[in-house]
Amino acid sequence: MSQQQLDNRGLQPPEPMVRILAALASLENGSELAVLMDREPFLLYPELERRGFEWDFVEQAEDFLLTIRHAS
Amino acid sequence: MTARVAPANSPPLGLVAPFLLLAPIGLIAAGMLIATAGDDTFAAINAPHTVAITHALVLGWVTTLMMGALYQLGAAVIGGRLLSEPLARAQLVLHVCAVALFTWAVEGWRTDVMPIAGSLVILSFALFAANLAHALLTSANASLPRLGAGLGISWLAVTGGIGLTYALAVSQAWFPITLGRLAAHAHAGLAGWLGLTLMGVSFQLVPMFNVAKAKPRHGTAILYGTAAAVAIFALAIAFDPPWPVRVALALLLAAGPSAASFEIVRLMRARSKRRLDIQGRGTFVSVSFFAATVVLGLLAAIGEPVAPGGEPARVLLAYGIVGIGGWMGCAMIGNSFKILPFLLWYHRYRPRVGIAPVPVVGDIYSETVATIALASHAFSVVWLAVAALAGSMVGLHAGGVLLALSAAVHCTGLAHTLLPKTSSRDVPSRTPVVQ
Repeated sequence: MSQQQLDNRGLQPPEPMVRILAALASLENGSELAVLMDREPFLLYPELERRGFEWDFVEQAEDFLLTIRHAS
Repeated sequence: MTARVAPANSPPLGLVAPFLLLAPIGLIAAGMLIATAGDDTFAAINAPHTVAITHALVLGWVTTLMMGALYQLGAAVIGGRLLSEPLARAQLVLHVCAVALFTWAVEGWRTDVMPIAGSLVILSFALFAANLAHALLTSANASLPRLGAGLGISWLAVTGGIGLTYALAVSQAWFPITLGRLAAHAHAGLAGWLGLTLMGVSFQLVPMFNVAKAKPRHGTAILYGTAAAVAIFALAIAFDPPWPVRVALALLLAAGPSAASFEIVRLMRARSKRRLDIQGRGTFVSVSFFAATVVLGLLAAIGEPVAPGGEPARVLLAYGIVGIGGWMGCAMIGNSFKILPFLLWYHRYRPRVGIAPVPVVGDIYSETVATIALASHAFSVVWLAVAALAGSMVGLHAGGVLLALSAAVHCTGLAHTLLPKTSSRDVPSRTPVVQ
């Protein structure tokens, strides 16, 4: 599985959402998008659901990692 | 203990935006009233014209803006459900009419109208409190904004109750409204309703908008401590104690908001977004005005021995202007230019992100206009405070005009956000991935 990465740290809302949704437009089936975040993007989740994606959200030592893929 | 955002609960734009857009009209009205203040302004803080100015500022401007922000935050940030959106729309109409009538009645000291208008204001408070309380009670998240808003609306009820009692007391000649009793009512509103709500909400919005990982360390203690301090202050000051007791009460009252200000500054210093936008600037200016409010509040508590020209009303006037207009006002202006554009972006442009270029929040409002609105407002507040301390009626009148003009800029800047916007940056649907 190929993985694309996006660093959204240091961005204020809603720019992380804009960048993620723009990146997902080109995400191929079988690939996933790994995003470094400063905080959990609660506002993004309904939009991911609406567009047919699923995700994992993990708290790391200094930041958060959001991994998004097409819903199976 | 920050809140989990609940976007599904976000109320429609048409509910929240009118509160934010109508609020600056209250400030314009207050500015015009200041510009027409009479000679008795420096003689007594409870002159009818001054009381009318205070209510135009607090009820017409700050409270209207705070209500709109809380309808949005109570649902979308605190995570609860409003009792009824149509009720909130009706409440705005009632609130605007009631505050306009009440301000007019107080300005002309129409004692027969004051209890009726005051009752309508109380009804507006009750509808707002019922709607917001439902949102707070249906939220599963314990958070500082929820706690601050809950304590805030409790104090709104107390403030309204005291105010209506005073209006009836004046109308029916029940008892005199002494300066101490007036101070109890004023501080229940300023520190209880507005202060607690602002502090609770700021603990959430400051790190969110400025991208700070740090969290408030003592938020819960600060909010409960301030609520208790307001109760002690209001109960004790109502008996018009001697100045050493007033100073002790003022120090007690200032402790909580001072601690909150230190927390806010710590959160701002921990931000990863180094460039300050309008919300960050508003926050810093607001905190600076809070420091000035404490100094003036202590001078006002001492009273006549330190009053310029032997007129304590001048210090009290400067204290009120800096506290309401500076501390509250600058924070509200900064936040309004973030809340309304964000709300617009969320409802209008979010569904098209990644499909077509959409404006970012920075494209929706003019940073220049917002900065002019904040700077001109802050300048007006400083001008008015200096004019009050100096006892300059000409300066006060000019400051009133300045305040009204800055409010017009604020109102125009917010209205401008409603116009359709295009993306200033090419945010293509297929590129920002870095690897």
